[in-house]
Amino acid sequence: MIELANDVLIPALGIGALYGLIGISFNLIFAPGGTFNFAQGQIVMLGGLLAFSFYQDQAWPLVLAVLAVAAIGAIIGLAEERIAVWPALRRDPHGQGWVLSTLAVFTIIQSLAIVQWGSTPQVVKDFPGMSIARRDVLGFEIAPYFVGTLAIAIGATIALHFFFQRTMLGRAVAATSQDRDAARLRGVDVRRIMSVSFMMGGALGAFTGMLAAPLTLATISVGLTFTFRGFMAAAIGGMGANLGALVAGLLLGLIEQSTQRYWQGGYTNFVMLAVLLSILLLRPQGLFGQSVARRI
Amino acid sequence: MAASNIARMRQWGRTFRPTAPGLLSNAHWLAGAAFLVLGILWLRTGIGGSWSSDSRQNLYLANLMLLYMLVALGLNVISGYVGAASIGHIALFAIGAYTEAILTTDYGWHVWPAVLAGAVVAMVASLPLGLILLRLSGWYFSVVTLLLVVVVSDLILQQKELTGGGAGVFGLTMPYIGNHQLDSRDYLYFIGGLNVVVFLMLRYLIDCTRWGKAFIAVRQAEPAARAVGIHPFVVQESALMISAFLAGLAGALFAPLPGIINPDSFPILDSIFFLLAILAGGMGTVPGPVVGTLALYIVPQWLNRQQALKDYSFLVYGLLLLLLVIFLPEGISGGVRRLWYQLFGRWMKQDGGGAGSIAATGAASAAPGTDHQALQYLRQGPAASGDFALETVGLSKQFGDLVALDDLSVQVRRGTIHAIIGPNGSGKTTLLNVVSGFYRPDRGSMKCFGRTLPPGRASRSIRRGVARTFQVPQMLPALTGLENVMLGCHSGGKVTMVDGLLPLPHVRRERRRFEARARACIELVGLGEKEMRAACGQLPFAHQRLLEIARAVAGEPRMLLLDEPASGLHPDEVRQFITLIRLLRDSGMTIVLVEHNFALVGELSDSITVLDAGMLLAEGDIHAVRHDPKVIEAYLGA
Amino acid sequence: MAPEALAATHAGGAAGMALQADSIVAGYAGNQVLHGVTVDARRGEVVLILGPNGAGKSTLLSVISGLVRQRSGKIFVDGKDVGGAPVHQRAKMGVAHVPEGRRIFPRQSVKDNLLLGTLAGKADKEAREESFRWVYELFPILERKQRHLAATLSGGEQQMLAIAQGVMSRPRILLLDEPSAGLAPILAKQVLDRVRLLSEGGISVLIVEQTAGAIAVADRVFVMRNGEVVASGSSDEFREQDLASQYLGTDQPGQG
Repeated sequence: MIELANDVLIPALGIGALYGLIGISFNLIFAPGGTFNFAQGQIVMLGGLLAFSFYQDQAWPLVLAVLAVAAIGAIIGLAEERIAVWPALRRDPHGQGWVLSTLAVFTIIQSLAIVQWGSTPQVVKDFPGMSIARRDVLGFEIAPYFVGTLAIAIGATIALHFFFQRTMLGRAVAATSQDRDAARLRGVDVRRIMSVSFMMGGALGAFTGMLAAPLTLATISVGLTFTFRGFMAAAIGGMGANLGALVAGLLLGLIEQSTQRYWQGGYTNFVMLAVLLSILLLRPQGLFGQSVARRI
Repeated sequence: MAASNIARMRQWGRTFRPTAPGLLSNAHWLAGAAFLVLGILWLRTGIGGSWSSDSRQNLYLANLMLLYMLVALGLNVISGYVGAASIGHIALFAIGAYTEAILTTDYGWHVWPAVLAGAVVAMVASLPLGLILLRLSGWYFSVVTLLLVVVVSDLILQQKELTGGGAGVFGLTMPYIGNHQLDSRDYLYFIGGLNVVVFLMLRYLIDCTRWGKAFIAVRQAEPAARAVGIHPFVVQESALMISAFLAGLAGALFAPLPGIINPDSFPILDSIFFLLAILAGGMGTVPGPVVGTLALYIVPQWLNRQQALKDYSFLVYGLLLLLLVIFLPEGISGGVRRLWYQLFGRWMKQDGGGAGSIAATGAASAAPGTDHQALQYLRQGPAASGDFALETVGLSKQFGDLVALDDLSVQVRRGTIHAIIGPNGSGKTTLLNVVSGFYRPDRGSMKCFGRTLPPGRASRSIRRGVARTFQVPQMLPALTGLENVMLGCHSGGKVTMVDGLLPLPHVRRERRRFEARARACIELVGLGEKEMRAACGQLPFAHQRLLEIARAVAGEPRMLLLDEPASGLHPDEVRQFITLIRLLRDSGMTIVLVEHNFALVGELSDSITVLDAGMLLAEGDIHAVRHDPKVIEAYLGA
Repeated sequence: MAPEALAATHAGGAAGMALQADSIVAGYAGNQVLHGVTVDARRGEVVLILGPNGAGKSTLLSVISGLVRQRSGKIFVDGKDVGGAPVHQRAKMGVAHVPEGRRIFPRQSVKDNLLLGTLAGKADKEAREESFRWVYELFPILERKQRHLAATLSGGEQQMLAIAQGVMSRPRILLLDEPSAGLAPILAKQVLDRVRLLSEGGISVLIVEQTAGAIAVADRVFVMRNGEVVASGSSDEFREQDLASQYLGTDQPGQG
């Protein structure tokens, strides 16, 4: 029983929290315009590589490194929105040109990352107080890192809840996601809301990439995996539901850890895709989501 | 029908520029075929060899290009016409390749049956993906296809005994024809020929049978698709199957070429290349994949030869994709088409005007009367039985807290014009949606011509002879008026997606029959050659409304449900509309009219049902209803 | 709050005209809906636009609020040309459009919905609280239910919330698209009575309706058909009997 907790449950929660965070970053971008950012996993990947450069290589202070990584993530998000997403949406608000244009950003980031960092995985040292080494706590062996990621994910979910409930900007974003035209009529500048959302999503994505780097190593190959997991967390939780993304992320962590322990790890993605398809077919709006079923 | 009104409408129509898509699409596919031939010649004559002296390598690349063109042709069906962008076609390609490789090496199959098996396995593997399209919007499909690439490459690495893991499968041999083993030069001709055949088949299916329009309809006007009896899920799933079959076929044909395949043979970047190719060529156009593959194939090859640029290949793909989406979303052929209009637009316009006036004089002699051809089609329909066209008993429908229909029982007498009126939100349109099978009622039952109508099944309602129109006409803007109306014949079609690939006699017959019927219906509603040839999105609102009625009539219904058909029409057009509806009634059709215009209802209808808050408020003829105090109260809110 | 005090916050403007929409031509793609429509509203006036479905009434409101671009014609609010401004700017210039179908934000609380209504108004806290006091006075039910999710309100309450949301920014001109649609007659009357109070508070109101119930609260009436204004006048001139024949039609169908 304790062994199960040590080897499966605790890592599952810690890693699942990372997936939840990525899912939330997808949600932030999805909220105002209903766009799914195909390049989001690449921004997460870039966060890890930047963490390597700033925190490991240049040995910047942690706070400075975090701020720099988040800021670069925000700038990439903003640039993507301005260059790739908005022009496609302006041409056809109901079209899906943004699927292809964010896919284009995916490949562009991939290329730039290869040129800058090469394809060798890089080690990033542990963050202070978040060692990956296990420690004995009340009879359980717990890595402080996993506690840290879970705490950060819960903290981020609560903070975002307050952002959407208590600030005018947050309310405006929430309003835009429910009824774009009605929000415009109430004086919301939808274009600005889009930019803000992409910046927030980009910053959170890059930050999560940095947070994950000590565990996953900083490497270009994680981009696709993070897109996979993040989308699953967001879609299973329900697009736009941040608490849903967190819960779904933890669930994914559990699936991943248990398939790796009790079956072959190589089947993790296969199992996840099967879970995703069954959930989406039974409940297209996700576990916590509002109905997204197409209207007649 | 007053001839002056027809003339007036014609006059009005003439100010709109015809786009003549029929002519253009022929030009397009001719250009595409020419491109294909030129491409093969280009490779064959060795001009292509000038960028490398290694002709073996060149032959390999030329073969690969033609195989990729085959994938692109298939991808265009699901991503171009149906509009669901797939990023997973490289995975389907890999599934085809591995199936062929495993069957020939481990199980000793001959190459040809193994190739066929590869295509079939890829097709089957794609089936679950189609379920996504059933209930979710298109981008979910795109993400899940991306995930498919990850999962397939995982599985290939895991199933080492079957796939050889990272090392792959080797010792694959080129196929034989008789005793002759094909070399890569023979293969080039073989695959080139296959491309031409597939290209022509798909072109025939899409341009000349009911399925091409169905592909486009499920994306652009799903309500219209359902209203003419198309089952969106079946159509999307079939398009996906065609697409996956071709990707698997290309993959299976690819495996013998290098003689060895491993996970690295199927980079995800190639999936993006397929999309890039059809986008560049023009998504949802017949020659798009051909033009796009030829135009872009040089890019990766050139990049691979410039060592310094090799790392930037992702960047080049990404930038190309971005530029295309932002600046040239209609692709190269769309750009050419735009240029064509800029150069020859004036000439086209004059030509169109001439054709219009010929049609006007031609149609004037065939002015609708009781002997009109379309009406003869209608009379050929099965004889109706029962006194009532429609009887509903206790229909109820609730949306959340809103009660739209509340225990509603109405009866519509056969062969009459029956109006359903009522204030906003009284449930008129909901009733129409329930009867046409778009909504499933919470309670209650319906009978149509004496037979029970299954609830919530649009395709069943249409087969029972119930056709409908929408408050806002649901037309396919890029198709011509004629093509839009031919869509209405869909439920009467027999041609399947398989025999529709070939110009067989019965396929051609069905097309001719549909076209004749559609023409007759368009003439019946008072429109002519110009509206048949113009893209529907270019036509004035009133013409779209009339075309929508023509489309409903083309399905040879026995009962026609019209949702506010006169709103947005000019007074003259309303007169014309009244004549048309009476004509249809006199030919035996039952008309159910949801309408706001009290005056129109009074003049046109034989009987009236007044609804309020989902309940029956009053019934009877115009005089009874007009003087009913309850009706006056509901309308005037006094 | 006293009506005079509120009127004082709306100083300025030429000739007392809150809204002038002049010869508006507009439509969608190949389809022209409005063929030169002219309507206006004086300060504090309730103007009713009547017409059947498809007459172009909603399109007219959308053109005034900027959701639909006019092809030609001019729009003035308080004498200022707003015709080129984007939607959210127009909201800040004093146009409050409450579209049909109670387009509130269902997943947010009543209070949040109202707060969103203040986005286009003055930014200071005092003005905001004054708006709240005023709106709660007009619609006491909203104060009682301020913590409820908007989705849980009844149809009539949602309609009141939608109107209240439009009022929160203290607009120059309030555009109401079918405020009584789908409401029981007694509820519709309640809503319209509140609208009358708004105008007494100095806000000009343009109401679009298909049925004539709102005529009781209107000062002037325009009748639209097929994208044109076919009749206009003071509401007294449109006595019920005349209207019944004009609107329900003893005249020929399809003729203005």
